Amino acid sequence: MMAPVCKLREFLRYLGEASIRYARESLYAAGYVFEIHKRTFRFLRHIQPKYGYRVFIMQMLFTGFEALWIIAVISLALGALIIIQGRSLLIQVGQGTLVYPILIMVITRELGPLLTAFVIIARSGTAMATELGYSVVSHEIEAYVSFGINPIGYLIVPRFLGVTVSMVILNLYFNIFGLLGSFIVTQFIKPLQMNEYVDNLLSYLTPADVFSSLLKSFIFGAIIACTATYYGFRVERSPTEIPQMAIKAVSRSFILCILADAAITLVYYI
Amino acid sequence: MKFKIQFASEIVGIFALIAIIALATILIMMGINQRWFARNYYYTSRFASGKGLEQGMSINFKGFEIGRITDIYLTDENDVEIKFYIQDKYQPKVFENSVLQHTSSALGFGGDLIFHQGAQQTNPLEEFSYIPSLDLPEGRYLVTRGLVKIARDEDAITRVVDDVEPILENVNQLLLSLNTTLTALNDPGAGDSALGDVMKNLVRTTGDLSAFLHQARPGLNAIIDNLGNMTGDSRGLVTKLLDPKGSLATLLDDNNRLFDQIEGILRDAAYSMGEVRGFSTTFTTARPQILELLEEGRQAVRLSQDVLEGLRNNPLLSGGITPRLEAPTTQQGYRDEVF
Repeated sequence: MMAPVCKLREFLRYLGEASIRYARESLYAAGYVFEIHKRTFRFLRHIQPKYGYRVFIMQMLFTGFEALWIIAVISLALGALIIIQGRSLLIQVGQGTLVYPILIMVITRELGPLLTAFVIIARSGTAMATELGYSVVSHEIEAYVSFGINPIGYLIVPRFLGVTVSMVILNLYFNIFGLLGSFIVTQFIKPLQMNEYVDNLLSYLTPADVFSSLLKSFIFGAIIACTATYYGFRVERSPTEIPQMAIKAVSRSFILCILADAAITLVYYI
Repeated sequence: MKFKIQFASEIVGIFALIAIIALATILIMMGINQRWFARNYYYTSRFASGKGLEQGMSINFKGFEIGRITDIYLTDENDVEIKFYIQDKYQPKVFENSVLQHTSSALGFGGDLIFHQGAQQTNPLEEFSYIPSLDLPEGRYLVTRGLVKIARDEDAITRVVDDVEPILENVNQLLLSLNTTLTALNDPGAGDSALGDVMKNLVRTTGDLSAFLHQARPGLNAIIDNLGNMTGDSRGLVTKLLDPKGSLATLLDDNNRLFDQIEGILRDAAYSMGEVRGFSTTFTTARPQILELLEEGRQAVRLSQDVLEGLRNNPLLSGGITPRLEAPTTQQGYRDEVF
């Protein structure tokens, strides 16, 4: 009779401790995000203009410019596939022009920001978590603090800005390649009139689509930067913790981006 | 130092600048294409139902989008009122007596709102004017009067359905009228039917006639006396007609030919009356079956109307028949040229 009661008590204790642990972690993460945003505003107001600028530029170069070719290939292929398959199918039911709203919905509103985010998570999210983890293990962070330099202001804010701005710009390129570049690819398979294509596309594209896409990419960029740097700083002393934290950074970033995407899409339709 | 690292700022600057220029260009092209700064002329219209109508729905004229719906609301009279705009370049085509027609697809592929131009070329209707729809009697009245140009649909099936539809509607109305009449005939004793009223009036009229004859009897007696006097007068008209040498005798002295003809006519009439009586007896007996037949016919016509409407709205049929691609056969002869 006593054994089930003890097991229930153990389970409840475990549940309580886990809840408290998650609540503490969540509060800590919320404080961390708040601190990043506070320091970012200071950075943008040129209170500390000098020492983060080069880090910001390098982050944009690695995260944005160097990922451009991957984004271009993905978006060109995706756009061309939608046009070719969509037109073939929709023309059979006399609704050939529906391919344009489908293209906008997939490329601009949904997959554009999401696929760009996935590419950035895979390339830059892991890189940032690993780099910051090594900085913690090699006591660089302690050195910055001992020199009176705020590690968040110097290491995180330029990365946060670099990733967020790169994410927005890469999403724009994704849309350009996906909507216009795919037209060129389609010409080799199923030729379309340029005027017809551009006119139809522009008549279906709304400012709300563009705004929604940019908003998503901005939020995804912020999520990726915060998550990757947060888990980079979660490394404590052993180098073996670094890949563990990098994996956590990637998985959490994916989940958070998809949840944020769902939330923004819901708000868009409500 | 690596090239990319050395010129990182420049590379990032160009990378960002191209994206910003592209975004600006797309926004400007969108503005031009979607006429963000062009003038729109607003009008109103009314429909019987709001089903299939939605904000932003395009209004087409001869296959061109000329405007869009901006507002839809229900009026106090339970009509659906829409507010819509016509683009500035198409506004001069909005003549008086123009109408709107809403066509919907049965398969859920949306519907069309079609603008039909007034038949007479007039000055364009003023902004905020009312343009009737074919859902309501005022719109249909304009069509009946020929005051509006209803464009013939290009689709063959739709054209056929358009032609058949008014006929079916008339047949339906006729059957409904017949049904109502036969129902009234079938129930004459109800008192409130038309035939009951006629019977009542007949009884009343007979009574009135009897009373009148009773009152008029003295006068009639006097007239009869006068007639008697006239026939007794040797110089009167009747005497002259009855004279063996008179005109009437001459006319009747034709070896009974006239009498034979009259007799034949009367015999035919008697025969016809007999047939009519037989027919009316048969008709009275078969009336329930005829009523049932008419009702079934009416339902069949209504079902055919639905089927034809479905066919007309079916986008698969509207698109015509998809051309077949002839696939080459995989089986080849053993004695072909290559072999």
